[in-house]
Amino acid sequence: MKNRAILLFVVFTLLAPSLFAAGARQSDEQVTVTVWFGREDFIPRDRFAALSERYPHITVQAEVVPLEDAATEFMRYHAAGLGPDVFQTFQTMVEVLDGRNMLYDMSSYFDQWYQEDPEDFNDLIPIALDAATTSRGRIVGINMVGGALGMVYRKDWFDRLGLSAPLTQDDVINAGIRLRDSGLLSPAQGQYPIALIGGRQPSEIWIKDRFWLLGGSHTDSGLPIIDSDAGVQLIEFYQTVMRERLVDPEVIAWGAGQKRGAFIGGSAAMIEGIGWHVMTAMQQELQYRVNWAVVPAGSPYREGAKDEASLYMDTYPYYVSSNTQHPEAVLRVLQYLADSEISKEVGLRYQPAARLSFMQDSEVLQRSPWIADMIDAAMISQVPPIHARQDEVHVILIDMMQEALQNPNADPGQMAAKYQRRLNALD
Amino acid sequence: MTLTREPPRRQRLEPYLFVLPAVFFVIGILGYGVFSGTLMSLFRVDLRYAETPFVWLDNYRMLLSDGGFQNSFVRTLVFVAGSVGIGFLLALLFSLAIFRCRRSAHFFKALTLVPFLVSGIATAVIFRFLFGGAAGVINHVLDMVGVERILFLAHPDLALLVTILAQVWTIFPLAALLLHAGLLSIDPDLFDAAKVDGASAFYVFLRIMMPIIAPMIGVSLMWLSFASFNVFDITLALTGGGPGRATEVLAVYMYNVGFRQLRYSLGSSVMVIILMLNVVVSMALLRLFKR
Repeated sequence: MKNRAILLFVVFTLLAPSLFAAGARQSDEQVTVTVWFGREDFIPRDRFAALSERYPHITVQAEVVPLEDAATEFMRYHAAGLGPDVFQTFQTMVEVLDGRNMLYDMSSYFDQWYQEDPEDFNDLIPIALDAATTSRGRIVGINMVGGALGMVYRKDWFDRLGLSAPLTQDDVINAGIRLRDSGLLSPAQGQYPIALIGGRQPSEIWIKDRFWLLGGSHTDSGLPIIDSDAGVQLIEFYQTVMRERLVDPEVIAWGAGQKRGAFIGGSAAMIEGIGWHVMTAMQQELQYRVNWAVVPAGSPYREGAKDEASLYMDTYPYYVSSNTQHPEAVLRVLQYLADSEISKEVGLRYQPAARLSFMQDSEVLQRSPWIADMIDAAMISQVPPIHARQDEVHVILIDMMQEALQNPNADPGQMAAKYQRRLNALD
Repeated sequence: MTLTREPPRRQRLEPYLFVLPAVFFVIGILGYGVFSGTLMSLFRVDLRYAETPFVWLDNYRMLLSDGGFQNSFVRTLVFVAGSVGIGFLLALLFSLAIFRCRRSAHFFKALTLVPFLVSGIATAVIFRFLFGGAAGVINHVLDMVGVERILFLAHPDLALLVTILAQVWTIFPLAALLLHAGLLSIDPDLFDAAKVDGASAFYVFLRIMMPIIAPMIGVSLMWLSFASFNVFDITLALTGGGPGRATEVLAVYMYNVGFRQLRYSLGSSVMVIILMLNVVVSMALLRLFKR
């Protein structure tokens, strides 16, 4: 017994220095973390200098792979055992990627973050982690884009006609009719009360945004239930704006550029689904609370169904690849991207940060005063339900919207039932 | 009787050696793409699933029963017929005009080529400025002469017509130059002889010029049809396939299915169908215009 104890002591004594050295090597080992950013603008201006200062052993290799291509490119690289440690893409891809075990479960590392700095962690708004949490409950990354979508209107024109901010869909239509009949707008000059995206360019975000505001719901598999009061109202909205000539008659060919341009150029009085970065562009032409304003969070809802209205946000999270060999270093990179100063710099320059402190920051509010009116919307925004065949869902929604715009007198109920059948066939 | 000595073997092989890199290049890039795409169309390759089972012709069956594909197929045939018809007519007119130019022919040839050098996306933007919205140039002119605004991009048939015009604008210059090259190859003595015989200009055009440039007509029609079957960028940027699905030609449908819906094998099947259409039409044109 004694001999065995001595032997163990000798072995431990001999091995201890090398074990400690290995541990030290692991933490000091130079690690390269490759990050694919969805847009150049998402890359912090200091290009990871602050990270290198704090963690000299971490080097970040930043590349730009467009959001639209990132998921498919990642899948190709991942299949070959290559690819980035972190990549940014649309949140709609998360279930597909997680279903194929291509994402790393970072839950325990986020616990570590919380343990290390609970105040900093709690400053993240709910969508930051919700958008990167899979249906299996795995946290596979973080979303740092925090701007909710909102409807904006020309406050000066509304004031002139004695109209108040439109709170319901009926208010939107009625205000549109008042504006149309007021003589304020000249259709010959391409001026109409409402501007929206009716074209086939990816426009599903805005269709869904309206659907949820109207109280739309989903099946367990993530299919929108169009054959419902909300769905019928959604179709009726598109039909009414065409029938009442509240939108440009060529709106069926419009994309996001035309919609924004119409409002900023003074050719439309109301537009929906506007992100904060677009509001920044508006501010250069029109003054907030003087010329334009946002409607209160959760509006315009369906008459009598205010409580059913939901706000959803499409996001572009940073996901962690299951191929990563350095989850600890990845956590530090994510913390750096989420850092209040770093995310504020990106937020002021490009897209708003998913941090409460950002939305309450005096410099931010001075530059972007509308944020004060949209904090509520940002805090209650949720992750949109995702179907396994989400892109096919999108195509069907666009088909439905375009049919409604082309057939303003058709029966909306029948149309809703028809498209519900097409949607159900995806299950 | 003259005895011609056969060139040595090495000399006979030389041309093939020079062609070899190009052959490898074509086989390596195009051949690989076509082969792997065709193979993929026999499997179910869908990025949402890890398994890629062999499904034989299921992808093609699925396509043929899909209303979206049927619509795209018909729209593509109309689009190609329109682009080739209008494109060929314009190319012929331009080539004849340049052929008649005694001075500055080179300048006009270069000028004709300009639209061909403009990218598809830029062409789409130009045509949006021309035909889109109340502020579009065409509607602006119509408004000045008291004609009501025409909703070019909101009407299914008009949108298709505008897309055809945009496509024609960018592809006809090359066809015009091909025809022009054919016209330049005609022996001028033939024109003089026809003139002496009192042949009319139309007769000369129909009986002398057209038969001689027939192979070039075949090549330009092949180019026009090939470019029209494969058009993607102009349509996507100009109309996105809309309104409804009025301008969703096969290449756009293929993009939507393959790259937006991630159904790669279905997209590959559309690619094979487009390829077959190209091959069939090209072979028919070659046979028709073989001199």
